[in-house]
Amino acid sequence: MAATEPLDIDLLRRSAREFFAHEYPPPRIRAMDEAQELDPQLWRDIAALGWLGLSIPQEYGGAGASTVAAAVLMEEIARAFASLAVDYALGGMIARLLSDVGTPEQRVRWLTGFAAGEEILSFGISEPSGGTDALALTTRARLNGDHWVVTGQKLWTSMAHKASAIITVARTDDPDPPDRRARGISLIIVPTGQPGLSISRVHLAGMRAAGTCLCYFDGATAPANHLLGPRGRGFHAMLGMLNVERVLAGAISVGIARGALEDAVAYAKDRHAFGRPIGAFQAIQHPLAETAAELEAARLLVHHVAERIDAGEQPTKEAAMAKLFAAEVAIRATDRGMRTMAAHGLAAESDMQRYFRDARLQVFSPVSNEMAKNIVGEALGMPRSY
Amino acid sequence: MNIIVCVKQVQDPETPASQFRVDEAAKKVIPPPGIPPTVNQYDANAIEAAVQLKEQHGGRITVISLGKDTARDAIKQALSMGCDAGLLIDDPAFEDADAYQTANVLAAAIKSVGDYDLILCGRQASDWDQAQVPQGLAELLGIPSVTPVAGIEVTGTTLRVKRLIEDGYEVLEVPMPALLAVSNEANQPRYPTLKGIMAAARAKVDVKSAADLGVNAVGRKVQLLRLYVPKVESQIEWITGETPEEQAANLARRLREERVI
Ligand SMILES: Cc1cc2nc3c(=O)[nH]c(=O)nc-3n(C[C@H](O)[C@H](O)[C@H](O)COP(=O)(O)OP(=O)(O)OC[C@H]3O[C@@H](n4cnc5c(N)ncnc54)[C@H](O)[C@@H]3O)c2cc1C
Repeated sequence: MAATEPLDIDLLRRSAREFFAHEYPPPRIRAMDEAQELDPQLWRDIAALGWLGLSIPQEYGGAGASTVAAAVLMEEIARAFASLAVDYALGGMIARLLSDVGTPEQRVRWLTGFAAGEEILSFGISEPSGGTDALALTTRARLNGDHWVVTGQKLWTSMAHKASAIITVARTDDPDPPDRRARGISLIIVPTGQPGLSISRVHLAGMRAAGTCLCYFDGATAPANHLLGPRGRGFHAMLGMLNVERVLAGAISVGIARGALEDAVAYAKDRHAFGRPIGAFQAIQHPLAETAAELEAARLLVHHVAERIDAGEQPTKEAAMAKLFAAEVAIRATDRGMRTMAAHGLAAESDMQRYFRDARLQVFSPVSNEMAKNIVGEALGMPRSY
Repeated sequence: MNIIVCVKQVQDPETPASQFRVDEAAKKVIPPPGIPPTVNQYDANAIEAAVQLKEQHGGRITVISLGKDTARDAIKQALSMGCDAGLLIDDPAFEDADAYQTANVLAAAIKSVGDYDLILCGRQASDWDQAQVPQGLAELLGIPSVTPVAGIEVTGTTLRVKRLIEDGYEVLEVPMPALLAVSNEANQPRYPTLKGIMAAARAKVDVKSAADLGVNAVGRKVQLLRLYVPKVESQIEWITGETPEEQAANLARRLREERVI
């Protein structure tokens, strides 16, 4: 982990809030959610604010900010627009991978354009046959002279339709021994816009503007030097990223839960029934108080794990806990928010139904909550369950 | 070019009216819990104008604020937008300073900073809306001032300033050093970039008391007699009519009777 710079967390939080409140208020966000696309200007705007360079080390033109700073910004982005947070989180992971294992040429080629918001990169690991059991992937890449030839499918690949390249997780070599499935998997930067690669959008009920795609690799090619990290050790390259990815997924859940709580509380104060604001009824008030407590706990856990990562530790168990706990908090918060607002929460004009739909992703991505429990269980000394 | 920007931290103008409270006995505004104070919006325009001038002509920007310890956040925000150094004048004796006392202590602070070509203020602060400090400050420093300003150009040692007047603006030439009180028409303040926020974390904010500057809180010119929230009463009157045209005509007649139009 590269050295990180201190910064004023409150200032970061406030400036992000003001940016969304003034430039992308809820009606603009709702319009993007309904159109199921991010406004390209939004991506350029966050690039101009330097957010895309957050996790890129300073020597490659980024800010080299801490995981805590990333978690704070992630919460604010998710509070405003969870679809954007999903893409932002993936972008951050890609930037970290390139910074960590990329060659100097690869970093210059891809990081600069990415941080400037001029080029989008996608990451394809999940396949139609499964995501949790990532090592079962069937996409293959074969070195043919001076280029790779890639065959297979990737599903749910975010922003692939806008990307210049997809970092594709593919098997390049048979595992040796055969039961060590992590061996022989490589990362290949496959350029888009070629006949061997066709990309189509997949429409979802949640995180609708994240831009999930289905990608067919039918003899898609990539120059030999597009191998990212050592051949056959792509999975190992990703392992160092997992804790950051999980804790930031926790931060996204915290942002969604906060939106649900804030909107529900505002509604409970304003909406009247039986001559009183509905927030005066304990049946409405108590669940929101529970959410408030859970939200505080989730945020503290996320920040605690982020601090440990910044201190150079690898808190695998706690990162899984943060991801798991925060996702469940988001699920409960959005469910309570929907109950508080009843029909008004379900209306297309309401943000609550968007939070509710978006929270569903948090349960299974980037690692499923069941898998997170497997990890925690194993860390508690019980036999590996998968 | 050496620029000084004076910045005031104010209660967030977007505070809901329902949460705005005053302590009538103490004649003080009670800060609403949970709503942090912000940089006065016109001062943000002044900061933006300073940063744009620095981008065009080079130089150094010093931010000065008279306020409580929390005003450090306002200075940090200015630093994150591209200013270079900060000075906070934190002195309980000046907590309720009037415009004259504020101008007096700011003048002393500016003299302590050293040479300057330009002083930028916001045209007024959104808390009391008095619009007195900038001109008072210029008077105390013996330099020309212009308010309210919608545009600034620098040629050599002269400023070309767009000054807002009713229904338009006039263009003035002003020799430097000068003080300009900037209005929101001048620009759209930038959001701090991540790198700006990190630079602000590294920058140092000096803190001085009025005594450090050799000023004391005398010479108050304004007496606050009473502070209260006025009661706003509203009535609704339905305007009727057979057709939309007739309704509009009736509405216009009523508005004229009430001398609204
Ligand atoms: C909006 C969105 C964006 C996405 N973006 C990307 C992207 O950019 N790139 C990418 O590669 N992927 C992306 N994904 C895919 C995402 O990572 C996967 O959905 C996720 O990994 C889960 O995989 P799956 O959906 O195939 O579920 P499965 O793996 O089929 O799991 C189904 C269920 O079985 C459970 N399960 C499986 N194994 C076990 C076990 N051993 N023990 C207990 N329970 C188990 C799971 O927990 C889950 O509940 C995205 C998905 C969405 C919805």
